[in-house]
Amino acid sequence: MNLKPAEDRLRKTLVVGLGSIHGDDSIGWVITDRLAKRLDVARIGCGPSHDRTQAREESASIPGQQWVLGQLASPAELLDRLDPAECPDRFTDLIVIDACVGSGKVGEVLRWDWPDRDWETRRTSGTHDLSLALALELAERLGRLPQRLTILGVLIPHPREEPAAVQWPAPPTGIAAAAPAARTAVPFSGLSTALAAAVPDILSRIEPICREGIG
Amino acid sequence: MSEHQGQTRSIRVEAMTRVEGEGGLDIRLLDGRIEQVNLNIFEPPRFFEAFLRGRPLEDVPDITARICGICPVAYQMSSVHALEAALGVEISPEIRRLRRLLYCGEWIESHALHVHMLNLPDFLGFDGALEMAQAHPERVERGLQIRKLGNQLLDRLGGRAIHPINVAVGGFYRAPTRGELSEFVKPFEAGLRLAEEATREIATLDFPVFDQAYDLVALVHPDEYPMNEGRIESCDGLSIAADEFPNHFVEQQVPHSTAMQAIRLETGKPYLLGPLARIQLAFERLAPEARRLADEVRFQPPCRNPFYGILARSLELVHAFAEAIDILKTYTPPRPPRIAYAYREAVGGAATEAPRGLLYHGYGIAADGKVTHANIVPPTSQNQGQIEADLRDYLPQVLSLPDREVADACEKLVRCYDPCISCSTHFLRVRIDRG
Repeated sequence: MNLKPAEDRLRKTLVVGLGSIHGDDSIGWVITDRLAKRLDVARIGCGPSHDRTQAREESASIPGQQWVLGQLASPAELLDRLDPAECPDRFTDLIVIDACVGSGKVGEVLRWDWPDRDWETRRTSGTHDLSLALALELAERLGRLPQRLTILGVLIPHPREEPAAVQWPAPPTGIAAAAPAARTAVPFSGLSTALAAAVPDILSRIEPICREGIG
Repeated sequence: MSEHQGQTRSIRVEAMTRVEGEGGLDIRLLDGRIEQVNLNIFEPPRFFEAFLRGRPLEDVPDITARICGICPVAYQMSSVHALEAALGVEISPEIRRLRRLLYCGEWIESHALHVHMLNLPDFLGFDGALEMAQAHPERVERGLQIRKLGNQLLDRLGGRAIHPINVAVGGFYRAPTRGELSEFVKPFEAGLRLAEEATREIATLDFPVFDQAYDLVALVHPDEYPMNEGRIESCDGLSIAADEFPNHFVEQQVPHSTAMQAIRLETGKPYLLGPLARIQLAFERLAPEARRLADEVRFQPPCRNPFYGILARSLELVHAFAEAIDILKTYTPPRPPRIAYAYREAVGGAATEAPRGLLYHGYGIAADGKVTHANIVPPTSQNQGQIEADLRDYLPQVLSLPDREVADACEKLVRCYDPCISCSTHFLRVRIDRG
């Protein structure tokens, strides 16, 4: 795998947060939201995957570099996002940010650079939904993967150890409040105390990875 | 995987692959005779019916959607129809068509995934979609493309593809504009051609010979291919209103499964739901495109071979695209998008056709609009008994094979029903004891 993109061409990085608006599972979305400000991306894609206007806002702040930030709910959506029909102007880099549980300090950022043999063992036995490892392997076999792929796992408290406890948004007054028209602004306020406190540190570790190769 | 204990030969598949959820299969043979075939579902019970008690009825479509990430629309549709039946809500024809369009999106997404990614590798000799992608990337690409179209439609109509949030008792929280839907026509016409291509290809597969005497059950509507409404009918002459379901079908607990199993009260036997049942009972109501293609590939009901489920499912894909295109081209936004209603103490039941088969919901509502009781009977728990019966009948064909191949053959058969264990726990490990 060629880890260094050709210097004479535009570098186009897709940074994807996987998760949801719920609790610590939202960390991938929280980080992409904050990265948008740091990378000077005006707005990030959080809407329907077919909605290119929402999903394709890019930064032009650094010559030769563009970022596209996306917030996706499932690895299968990532497979769709990498469909050449969706994005004829291919990405050179892909960075996936997701919550993970394991031993280590809350907020610790784990990094895997594709291909990683560890990931081959992370394929689940298979259900209707695709695991991240299976989606990425499938993308690779179908020729959809960019030149460089980095997976960043942010350690969150084990759900059984610390319940998400701080600053939950007010519950909607009716289901209508969650209707599509109200979904453009995503509330990120359900992180647990320990993870919320670690966000600045997580950002300071992830931002340089997003900027890697830019000189 | 294999244990030999005295006169007993034991084969075990610890966890079924390419099925949704967690379950296993235990087969015990004593002196060469099949003594026991158990679908052993160990995914924990999920207690959705209990969650619903005491909640506002408006919460029901969103909570029940959470039962399944593949067929949330089915849960939403059965729930809103049951609640509307209780409340006496009459929806407008425009709302009804928009609901059918939403259901088409789900059938497309679910059927595309099962046909291409979960079931087709079995017929082509691959371990899974990943291995198939190496040799036949075009087939995997086609499946992904079709599935994506279904998801995009769900996104547009439901606010998001997984667990949509726009379905309401009485209609929709927001109806899309004509422009928002008209842009789907061309991609869906391309999707129809892909589905037709897939069906022609699938019709040429080698299907094992295995005919069963099924009691096929599905919704039947006088004018439409079954989806949102109709009478519950069977191939032996049963014809009942959907809300009479509990009087004719009963769920039973079995020791080896956290999922209930259903039988017909009249016969005391299991029955089969899903594409084979729907095509058998409603062939004439398939869209002309799907009927013509069925004729072209010489698929003519009755078909009682579960391995042909993939072909029936492909024809339903064609149907779903054709119907969706028709609705997209003639769409008029419903005004209002949601019919108002008043609370009343009542009970109501309804059934719709989930991709895997008939899904019944029944609810009781108090005068303040809170749910007093809920009864949800998913298709996979209804099909489980029939799957066990089919395995019992299929095993003699494969028992002479080595244990591993027996287990593989059983898994392949089970996948033909597109079981959704997560839905039914409310499923595969295969273990065989041989005598």
